[in-house]
Amino acid sequence: MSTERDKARYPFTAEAAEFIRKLGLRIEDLTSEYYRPILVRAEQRIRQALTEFKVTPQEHDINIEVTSFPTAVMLMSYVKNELAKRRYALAESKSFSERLREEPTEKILRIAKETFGWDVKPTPEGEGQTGDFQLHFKQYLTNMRNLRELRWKLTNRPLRDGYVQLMKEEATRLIEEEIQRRILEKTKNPPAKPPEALQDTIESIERLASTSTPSQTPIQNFDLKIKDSPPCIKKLIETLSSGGRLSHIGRFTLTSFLVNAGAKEEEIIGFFKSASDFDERKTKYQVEHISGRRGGKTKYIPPKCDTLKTHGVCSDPDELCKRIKHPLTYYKIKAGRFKRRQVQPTMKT
Amino acid sequence: MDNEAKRRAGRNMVKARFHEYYRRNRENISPPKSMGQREFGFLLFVEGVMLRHKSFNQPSELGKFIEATVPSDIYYSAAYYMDPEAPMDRKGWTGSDLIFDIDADHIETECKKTHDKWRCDACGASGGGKPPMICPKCKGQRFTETTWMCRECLEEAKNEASKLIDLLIRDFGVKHDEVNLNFSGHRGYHIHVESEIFKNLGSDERKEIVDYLTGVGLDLKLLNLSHPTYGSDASGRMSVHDPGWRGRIARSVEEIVLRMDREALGEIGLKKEEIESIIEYRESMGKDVSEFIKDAGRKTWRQIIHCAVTLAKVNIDTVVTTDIHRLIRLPETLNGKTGLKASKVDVKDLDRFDPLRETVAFEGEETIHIEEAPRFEIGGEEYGPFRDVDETLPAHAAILLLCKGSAYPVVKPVV
Repeated sequence: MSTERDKARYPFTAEAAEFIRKLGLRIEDLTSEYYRPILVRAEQRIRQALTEFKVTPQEHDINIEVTSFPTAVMLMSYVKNELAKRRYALAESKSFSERLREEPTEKILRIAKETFGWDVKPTPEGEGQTGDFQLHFKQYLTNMRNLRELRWKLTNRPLRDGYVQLMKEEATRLIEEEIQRRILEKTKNPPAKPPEALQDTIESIERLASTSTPSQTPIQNFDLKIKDSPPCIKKLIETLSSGGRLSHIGRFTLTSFLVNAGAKEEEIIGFFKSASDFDERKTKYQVEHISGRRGGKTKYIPPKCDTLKTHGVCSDPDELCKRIKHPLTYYKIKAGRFKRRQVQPTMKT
Repeated sequence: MDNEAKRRAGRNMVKARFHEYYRRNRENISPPKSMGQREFGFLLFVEGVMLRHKSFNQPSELGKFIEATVPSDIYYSAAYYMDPEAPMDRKGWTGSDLIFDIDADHIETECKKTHDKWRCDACGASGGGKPPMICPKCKGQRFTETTWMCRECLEEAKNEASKLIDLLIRDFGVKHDEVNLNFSGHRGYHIHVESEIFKNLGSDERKEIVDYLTGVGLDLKLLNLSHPTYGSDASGRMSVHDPGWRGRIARSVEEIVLRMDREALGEIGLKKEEIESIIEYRESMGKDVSEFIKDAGRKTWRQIIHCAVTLAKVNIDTVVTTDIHRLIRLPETLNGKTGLKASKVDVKDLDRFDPLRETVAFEGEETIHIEEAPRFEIGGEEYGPFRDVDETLPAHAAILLLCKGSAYPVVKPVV
């Protein structure tokens, strides 16, 4: 059974949702003096999420804490700044998962089953069994889509009878992805126009969003170089500009490619500005390190195609990709440094 | 007859035979599940024409259409659509079957050099086996390929199909009756899994499944296999009962150490010393892989693991599985490249299935002029090799040659 405290710490669970439903609050109620503290706490959540990338729970008033979460989500759905929505979802889900990781296995199991409808069960004793949970591969695949490290690849996982074995921390990490996805779903389309009384709140959030997230740098001045980039690089750029985040190897590949394609440091940093987890100082450091300006003075080149395939960075290879082994070769050919005859596609039924 | 007339005559003869087959088998059309939600595609005997975006609600409708149009190949979408006849962006995708294409085209076999041929479109240079990237004579990049079916290629394809089915059932929990298997009609097999579990998986998830089957991203350190370990106790040593790739590698290692013959060991890439140490171990009545592992050097272990991985990987056309809008051949219809049936095969009967015998679709004989053909087997008989000769052959053999472009019809002299 979940305690009162649990509802405050995990307001996304089925129990918390039921609790909120029982309160019977409507959006219009929020603007009344009596319920104002909920609105204030919701704004606080958003403010902390956008500026500190996390949300610390307040546990002195359970009712306010629990209802502040769906209220914040509702407010964010009226915000137009896409990047802010992503950052909010990331902050909330990360904070929830950090706390969840410390909980006993049974509690995590229950939340996964009852709140997210996961097909998950404890691992039975027996041969070759490692891990605390067995999760059906369908939920596993859906939630590890943005996790690009090798240890998440299904290939490196114990899979039997349709179930993947997971350790507690790994299950929590996947729950984080699930929560993030759901928050993003809920903040996508606002139900209707917000009530008059909430306009001020929403506008102040909008202002906060634009000051705390960097302005979009137009990529036009770099258009030429992108046009000749291989599909993998284009995909990395696309992920960034739509507000996603890249894996470590994705960041390294894109940065080293751009450095070797002749982009300037400010231009490269500009690409990363749209990432949901953009940190200017960290990015600047990485770019300087990879370009050789700092650290060992080595100018790094991107990994070769085989490596990129292994790590899931290779995507939608085209005809030219079949003939090269390195993304820089693709770029040099396309940009016209080497002369090659046009490749004819072969017909196959 | 000039070349164009020869080709046309050949096409007409094949088309007539196809027509007869589809007329006789109108009632035997085996439609896919939820037929009305699928897009159907038909390749015609007229070159390069494909009819698409067609849908049918009843098998009899489909049968009538096929008999009237006489296509060379019939396909249907792996996908389910709300409106299959609408243009692509308005069809309304609601899910797809999980499909696999195993083709000897993608499997390395020694025999291809002997029965497959390529010819450079630009300068006419030719050779055996798969075409090169660029023509060695004129640097051209366009080639015409002639490929033949042979027992060895088909056995390899069958092995891959078995491997895949075992994996789907053992690792993914697919049930036997959810696996639909059919011969492709040429050099491979298709597997369709119709199941609610896979239906709404997107391209990304399917790609991850493909990577799992083909061993992409496999990391021996993550699997705890960088050091020699073997045994079935709970100390973390590798065992054939382990889930996932660890178990697969263990089973392949057992195959290598205890069962594979000398020739096969060489084919998978083991060096002479390694093969010798395995044979020696077997001759000393060794039956316990863990014993062998304990004495084998680190280097030998690595080599064996490497070969075990290669043995365990499945060889599939990765594009087919990840493309959720893919059109695939309708089982029990004819393949325009060969005139053979894309016969359904019961998974239990795969071992016994003989694609060179059980997929014949025609009766009677035809008289044809054969330009060139290697020795080949079909319908339980061997034919050829032929060069520049008139022959009267059983219809299925003649049609095969016509489809391959190696022959054209001859008008029988009036006696």
